[in-house]
Amino acid sequence: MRETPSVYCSGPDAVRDAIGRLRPNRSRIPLTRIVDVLATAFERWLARGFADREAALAQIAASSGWSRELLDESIDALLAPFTRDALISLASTLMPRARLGGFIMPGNAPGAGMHELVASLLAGSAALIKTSQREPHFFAAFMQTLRAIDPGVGSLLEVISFGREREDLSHAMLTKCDFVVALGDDASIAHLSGNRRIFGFGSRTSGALISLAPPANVARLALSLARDVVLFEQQGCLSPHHVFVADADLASMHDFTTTLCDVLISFATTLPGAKLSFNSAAAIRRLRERARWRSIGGHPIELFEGGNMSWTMVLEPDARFTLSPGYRCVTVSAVRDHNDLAIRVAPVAGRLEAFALSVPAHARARFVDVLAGAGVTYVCDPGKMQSPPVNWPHGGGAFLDFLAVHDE
Amino acid sequence: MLPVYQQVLSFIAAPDPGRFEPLALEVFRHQAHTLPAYREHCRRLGIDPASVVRMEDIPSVSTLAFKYGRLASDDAGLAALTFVTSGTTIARAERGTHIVSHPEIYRASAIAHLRRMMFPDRRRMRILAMHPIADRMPQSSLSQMISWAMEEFGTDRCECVADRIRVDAKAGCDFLLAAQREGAPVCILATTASISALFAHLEAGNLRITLAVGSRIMDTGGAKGQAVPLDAAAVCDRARALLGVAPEYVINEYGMTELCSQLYDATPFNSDDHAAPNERVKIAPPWMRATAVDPISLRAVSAGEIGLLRFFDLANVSSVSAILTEDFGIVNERGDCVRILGRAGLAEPRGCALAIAEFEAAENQQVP
Repeated sequence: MRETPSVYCSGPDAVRDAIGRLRPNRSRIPLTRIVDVLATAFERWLARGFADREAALAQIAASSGWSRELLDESIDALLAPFTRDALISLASTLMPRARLGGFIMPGNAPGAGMHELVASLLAGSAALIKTSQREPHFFAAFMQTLRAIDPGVGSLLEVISFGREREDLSHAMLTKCDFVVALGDDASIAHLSGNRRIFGFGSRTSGALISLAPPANVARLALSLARDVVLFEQQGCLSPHHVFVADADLASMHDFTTTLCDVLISFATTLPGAKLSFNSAAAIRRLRERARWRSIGGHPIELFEGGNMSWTMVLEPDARFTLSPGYRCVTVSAVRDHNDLAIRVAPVAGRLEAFALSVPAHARARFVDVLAGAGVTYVCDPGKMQSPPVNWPHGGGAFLDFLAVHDE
Repeated sequence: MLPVYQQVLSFIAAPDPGRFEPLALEVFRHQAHTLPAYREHCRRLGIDPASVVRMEDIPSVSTLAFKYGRLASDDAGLAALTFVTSGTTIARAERGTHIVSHPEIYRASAIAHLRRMMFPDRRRMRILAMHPIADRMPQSSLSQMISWAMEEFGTDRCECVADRIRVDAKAGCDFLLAAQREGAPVCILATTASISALFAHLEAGNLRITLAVGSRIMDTGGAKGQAVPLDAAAVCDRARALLGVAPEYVINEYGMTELCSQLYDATPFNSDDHAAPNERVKIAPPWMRATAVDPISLRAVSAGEIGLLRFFDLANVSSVSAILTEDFGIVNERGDCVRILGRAGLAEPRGCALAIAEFEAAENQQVP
């Protein structure tokens, strides 16, 4: 197994040097060649056993405590939409321009930021990618793949890694790049300055809404939603924290929740859960004890617990949107209609990213309107939450718009 | 008074380490019998209280439980005191309630350990309370403790300069200046936030006070209520610089509404077990035992390993004694010496995913 390259910055010139290598490469390579190389790279990365992928995922598994099985499924889901046809289609909407983009990638979900990176490359930009010290492997390995396929296209990327304490390097990146894409928590993004074109993708969360009205297939819905929950160990902004259930009485909600638990039990074997950090375990403990004692105190709430903290389900019919500590913890609630949904998601309005939706056709438009009003940028079928299309208007679409405009 | 309450009072008066576990088991069975919510908790865990024969098998109750379940026996009479938590994190409206049906046990516990940790020299002195006393804030367990401390250890020159709204730092400063003039030692009982306000007042006025030898400070609460939190070292530094109080007389208390016993910093002033000057460990009273537990299994971790802090507090006999906190730390083998490391489960970085801590912080900012 090969080691993936990870370029750790030590000197103050690291960013300047990387930018010096990238600048001459912008917009020099025909778009068709970039599309072809990217498509080939994604085809390789979607093949399990591909050396770069294997090496990267092994390193990520070792450092994160996530299981390899889970990582494989997660990366497959993330990369699945990056087909040749999809890349060609996206490229046709963008305006090629010789620019240098800085990308500040997060450490919570490997591969997060891929949509923005690909769109940027398809728009002729070179990319300086700053990875998190917590997860420096994925993009370094992906760059290696591109360079192996086509050194020219591969030279459009440089991957560096440094901690947020290196303000000198952050400042150099922010001031010398033509634009900056930053994924991370809101506070970190708010702290960024020095570039008039910063596209921040801050703290977001996701949920799901399903109807149990006939002909809903409860088992299939549970399987699909459980998959959405477990992929990326519920650490990404696309992971559902709260599942709302429409057209269901308490008994059928209970049945659905137990079905969901059954699927999570089976996933504990096929997609084993992560080794929990102390803090994560304590956060799950907090969620459980709160639910447990609210139930004992007479609140209408039911707690379902997987052994060894492998998963946690809280059935609370009247709950408003509740954030999860991740690692397969979900709240399930009832929702009456679209007006009720608006009330339920109000606590996180403006901070929602994706929603899985499975409701009767006649009700769909109203629910979609509510979700759009709450800031949701990606509505999909259950089971597809980790696979947004390549033209996903992440964060509202401002970045894609920026890449598409003809004049600045 | 029930025999079990009398036994606890006797234990506090004359601790016998060999008697702790049998008494703890008796207290647990009493609580499981008299508290329906605790009994239900045991039932859901599949635990028959009668079958529990080891202290480590006593099911603990999360501090969160005090927000949602009634953990007081039905015999709580008129003398009962009801304390309410400050609720600084999730859902401020959901404040915990601790009903102490036998306040005399709380008083005995608080006073005995205060005597050991804050007044080992047996001196009575002027006390400056920088947190409301009980008649100003009866729902605060800290207020009650401060009032008792003033009764027990104070002279007739005690003063409280806080109410539920504010701390009058100037009045506190005037009290200390008078004590300085008269060469009288002072004990300051404060939250870390209120002592911080006093320091800020002194610094703003470019004032320096040199309190008489033997003066001491108890602060508690840590970062709670502070815009720019002072850590323990900063409190010690400022106490020395601004008040002339040496670090061994600056003693941080760890307590919570849900516990009738408290832990205090061990320093050369009050303990032979004190840690290095730049490290602080806290001493529990003999009627309380601390354990660090694994947050997943709730089983004790090895001595010296980090775990979630669980206490068994005999003084909580009228409510629940086995308390699981949300703090993490390290506990020694005897369970009487704890290094508090902070609040667990809130600080996990989540990158672009909205974290609970981040969300709660934003929510709390919106709460007036």
